Amino acid sequence: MIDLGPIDEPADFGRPFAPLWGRVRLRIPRPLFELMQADLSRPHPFAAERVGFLSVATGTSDDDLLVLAAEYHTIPDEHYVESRGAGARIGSQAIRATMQRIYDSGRGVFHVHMHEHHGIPGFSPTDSREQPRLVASFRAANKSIPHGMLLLSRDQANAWVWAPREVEPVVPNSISIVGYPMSLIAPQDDGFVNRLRTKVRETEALPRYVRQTFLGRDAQKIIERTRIGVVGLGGGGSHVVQQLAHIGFKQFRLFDGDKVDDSNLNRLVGATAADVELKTLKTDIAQRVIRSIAPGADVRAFSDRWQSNPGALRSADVVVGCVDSFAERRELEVACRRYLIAYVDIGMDINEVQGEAPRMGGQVILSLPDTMCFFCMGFLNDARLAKEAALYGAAGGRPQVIWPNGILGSTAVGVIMDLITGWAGQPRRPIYLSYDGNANTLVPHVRLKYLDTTACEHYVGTRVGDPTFRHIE
Amino acid sequence: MTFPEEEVRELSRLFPGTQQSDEGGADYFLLPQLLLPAGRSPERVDALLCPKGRDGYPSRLFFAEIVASPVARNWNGVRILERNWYAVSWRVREGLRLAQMVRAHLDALR
Repeated sequence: MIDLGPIDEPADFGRPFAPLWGRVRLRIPRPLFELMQADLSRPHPFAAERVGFLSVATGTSDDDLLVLAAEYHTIPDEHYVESRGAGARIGSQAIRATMQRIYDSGRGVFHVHMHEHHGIPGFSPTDSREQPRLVASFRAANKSIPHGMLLLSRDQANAWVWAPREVEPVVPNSISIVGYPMSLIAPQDDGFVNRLRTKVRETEALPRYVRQTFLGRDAQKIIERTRIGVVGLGGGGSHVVQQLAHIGFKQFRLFDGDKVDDSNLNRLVGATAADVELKTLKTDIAQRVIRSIAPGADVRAFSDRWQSNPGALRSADVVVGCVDSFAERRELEVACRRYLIAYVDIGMDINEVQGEAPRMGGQVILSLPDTMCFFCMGFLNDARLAKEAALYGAAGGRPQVIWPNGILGSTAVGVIMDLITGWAGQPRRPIYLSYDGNANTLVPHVRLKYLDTTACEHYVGTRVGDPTFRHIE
Repeated sequence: MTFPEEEVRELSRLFPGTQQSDEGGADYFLLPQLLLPAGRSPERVDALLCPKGRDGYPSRLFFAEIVASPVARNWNGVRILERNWYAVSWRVREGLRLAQMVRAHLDALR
């Protein structure tokens, strides 16, 4: 709750109102979410609660407006004003500084405060009456970017978002806290009014998923609302989509430009000899597999490179990369960092050395915003990329077999399941698993022992959203 | 990464509309509608200069589309700053000023 200092009150605000559900996805990196919680939980010398401001960037996707949390700005103690009857009252200095930030950065701003309980928080009548007045000021500074109000609880969040040039706010159709564990909050589904309807649906769905209820009470709901992007539908990706469909995932964005040929039949799940004859697209096979398990699934397949359909990739909450080259992995990680998407990479390789047994290796890596990236973990480096570039990216035709694809694909699915449900109760740690196909082991990569930080020095957390350029005078 | 101010100003003067950005710890200069050597198709194309090392090259110049030139070149695609770019395998010497780098990379299309 906030009591505003003296600002001009637009005629259409000053009343509580119920916003519509909107096609907006709000994404917040977990480290930033926890930073806001820590700041807002601090006692103030006289104010009953604290407020802060969150700068956001935007991203364009095929489905929704992406609103991406970039930077949190705390309000100094001295900028609060003593007030009776208001949890927090901030002076005009804090508001002016925020307005200036909007002008300077071109980024939207969300008013943030916190309710100290668990579950989806709800804006109080005072919040819904007073905060829109403040947002109106932000909109006056720049209407072409989204602004809003964000309310945190101890484990969830709620928001109203004023999309660019829109007068009325909307409730995002998803708010994701991107990190380990990942929270996928759908305020419209989880709100009090819809709880009964959801309960009925859960009961109906129970028989199919009765053997996986250990994943958590809300797990199936979370699984259904998680949108998965899979890039590469060959040996690894075909295992991934099949398993995700069995688990109950309903939203898929698939990318692969290849058609099935005879050399794929040694490992591509779902492909048949008839597909080779028909030169079936790998995306068509993946769709067929998914729909045979989950007929109503929302599957959008792109028989092309993901780089030609970036808006579809950006709309995913989690991306699984099953690609051949290091350069493609770098590009996928860049896109996922920029749009605050969790990225799981899998890959395998077999090296044949004269006079020795072939060496089979591989990896499963989880890359999350604001934590170590592929470069930090030593998986990517300039020398490796340079060596690959010298071959002009030629990675095709290398040995590939089904069982390591299955192990790595299954492990990627396991990583995703723990990420979105937290069922395994593992401590937060970087995930870089190293596969040794000769020894049949999959263990944390030895490099992790020698890394003394989990922060990323390559991708700055504030560089999110659609790219921006500085004009040179 | 910071670059000598006079080099950045020179780049901007020679290539009007130059803009700067960065991604993944690397700096880039966007050169809108860069004029290509005579006879190339297209005549102008957006280009992106990566002045520091990338993929084993001391610097690179990427083009928004593949450019037809008399000598067949090996073009490769990359995605940087949420846009698809193309570059030829072309190595220029180190130690050039930013504007000199652009000129040297354009030699690949002559």
